[in-house]
Amino acid sequence: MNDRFLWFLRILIVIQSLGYAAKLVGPSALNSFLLGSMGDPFVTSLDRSVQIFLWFSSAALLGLGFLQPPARSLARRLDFALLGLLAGWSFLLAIFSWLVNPGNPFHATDPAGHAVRYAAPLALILFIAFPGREEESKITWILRWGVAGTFVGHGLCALWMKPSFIDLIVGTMNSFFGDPVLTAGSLDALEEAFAVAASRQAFAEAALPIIAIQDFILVALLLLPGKRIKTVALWMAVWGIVTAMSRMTAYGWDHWHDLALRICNGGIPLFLWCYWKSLDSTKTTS
Amino acid sequence: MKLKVLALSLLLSIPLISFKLFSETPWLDKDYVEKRMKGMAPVQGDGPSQWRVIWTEEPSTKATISWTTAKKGSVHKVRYGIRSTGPEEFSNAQEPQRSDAYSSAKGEYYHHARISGLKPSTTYDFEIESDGKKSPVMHFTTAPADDREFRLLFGGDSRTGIVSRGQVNLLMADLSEKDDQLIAFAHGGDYIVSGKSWSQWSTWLSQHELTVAKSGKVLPIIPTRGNHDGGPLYDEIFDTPGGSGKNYFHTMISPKVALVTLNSEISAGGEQQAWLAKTLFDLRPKVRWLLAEYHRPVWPAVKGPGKAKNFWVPLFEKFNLDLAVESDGHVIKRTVPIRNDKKDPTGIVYVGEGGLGVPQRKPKSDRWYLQKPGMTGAGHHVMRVTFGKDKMDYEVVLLDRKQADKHQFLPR
Repeated sequence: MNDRFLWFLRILIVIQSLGYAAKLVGPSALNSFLLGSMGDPFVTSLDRSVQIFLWFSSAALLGLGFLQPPARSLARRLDFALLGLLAGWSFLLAIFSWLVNPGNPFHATDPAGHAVRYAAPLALILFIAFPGREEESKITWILRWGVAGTFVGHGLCALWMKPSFIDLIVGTMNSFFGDPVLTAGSLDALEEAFAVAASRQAFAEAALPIIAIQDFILVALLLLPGKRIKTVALWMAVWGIVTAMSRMTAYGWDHWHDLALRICNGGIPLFLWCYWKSLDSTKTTS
Repeated sequence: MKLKVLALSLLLSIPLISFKLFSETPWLDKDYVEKRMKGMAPVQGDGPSQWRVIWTEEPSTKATISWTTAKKGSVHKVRYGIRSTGPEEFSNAQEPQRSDAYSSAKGEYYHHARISGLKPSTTYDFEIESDGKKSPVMHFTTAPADDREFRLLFGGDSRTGIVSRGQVNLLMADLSEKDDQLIAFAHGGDYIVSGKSWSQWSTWLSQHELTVAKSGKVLPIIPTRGNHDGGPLYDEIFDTPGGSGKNYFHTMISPKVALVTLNSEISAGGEQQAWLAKTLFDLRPKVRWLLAEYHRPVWPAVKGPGKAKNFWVPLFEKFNLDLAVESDGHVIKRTVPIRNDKKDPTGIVYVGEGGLGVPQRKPKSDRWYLQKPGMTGAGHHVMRVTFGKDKMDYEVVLLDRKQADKHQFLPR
């Protein structure tokens, strides 16, 4: 695979890793799962250690990208180990997020919804380890399934009207058009603001099932065997980035880590689009 | 020789010290808690169990008395009447307006008898009867309709630590027994781990019996939904407080004290935010003490801030809320007064964050809003708030009855 694509993937993974590290300002799902049995000092140290590891990994992965160590070298093994651990951390968190919230349908989708986060580091390992064109094609299927899992997970949450999704839409509308509830100074103004707030919520509730259907259709098109529909990948890229960005448009710039954590949601479809585009242009040239 | 005498007297004094210690706080002995738990009314046969009194909107004249039966049964009622010095007299009876099987239970039924037309600041005896089997006679006191002083307990997160939960419940019963001014308990959510698990709710409900004082005094509960309380059982247990799909409401505890209960588990913006604005707009000029309670903290001591922060905090500040009560973090905290993301003497104080049984965490006390005069700590606890004419006293009571924190608020 072209080095530029490997770099693209690596940068996405580094940004995601930074997002995970920043997110550890609060307890992780693993921390919550182990709190009862292991006690706070242990789980806090665990989170702190993981956070330090993630900061270190982010820097190390960039450095190793520049070094481009030869296969079977110690540095290459370290590169693979870091990527493997990042994939493992993403996967573990998705599983524990589900386990610590038993009976919560939204958290039950996390293993699927976070799929692209653990698929990306795995794919990078495989792209480096098996550089042949034939293998590349197979490895991209890991990414396709990862993106599919993420879109299915988020689609299900949208279909089931996840409250935080409603807030993302309402909060974004408030950011762009103003929040009349906060500025209303009289009862009449409050009544009007109530109507506006209710209409924004109604809009969000009407939009979510449509978004869900869109997500499912995109997944079906992405997974069509023998097909590489670039428009679908591009659409997913735009949508993935827009929805990841909505954490900041709804809640402010200090939520940058929520975007960083979800960078692969749009980044991996964008990677697929670029990669497929390059394949097509290679074919045309030859 | 002297050493032997000293050792012997030390040895003898240990049981005496223990007796003195545990006689005032017997729940510190886990064997005692387990013994008390064995004495809880079993959910079996035809009789009532898992009794509770629920307050939502007008507790000076209304209350819901709820209970569980192991099967549907046929005749259910609550008999109640104003407490007198003589033998109990029940001048009124109320059949449950709502009875049905608990979702995912093994045939257990809930019953909600909504009683109204009560007199304010009046103690009512009540007895629950299901198919001829009766509960013990218990009593509760309605909320005042005048400006008298009273107290409420607050607390959240009872979802794990079954014995610890029992300990806090026994502490609450003890605090309630010795204090006629203590009239209710507001639970901040996360009652159990999985809101869809009937067996977990059933254990919680049975253990709630431990909050009943030995005299039979029941502390009415004002419920809040937490992130672990998803599913239909919450509404079945607490009679859908605030309405289906909402679970937000305000309680006029007295003409001068209002508690706004919010639901951080549904959309915080949109309708709930607009409702909050209207409610605070309406309440602020009328009441002296205006409080809000919700589960996920917006100024957390452990986690990241809840998504409601952007929607609710500007309103808290606009309408000068007197106190916000939060849960979820499993610590003890009191923030500095906050306004516009800064420490400000005119700002809002946020307290919490849950210690009704859950394992405690170490708070992140380096956060700016938790610096002195704020406080952080850890330990199973309840918060007790006294609403007076000239001041509102807040304190945190630990399992051993020691005070972990206190603060005084003056009317705005």
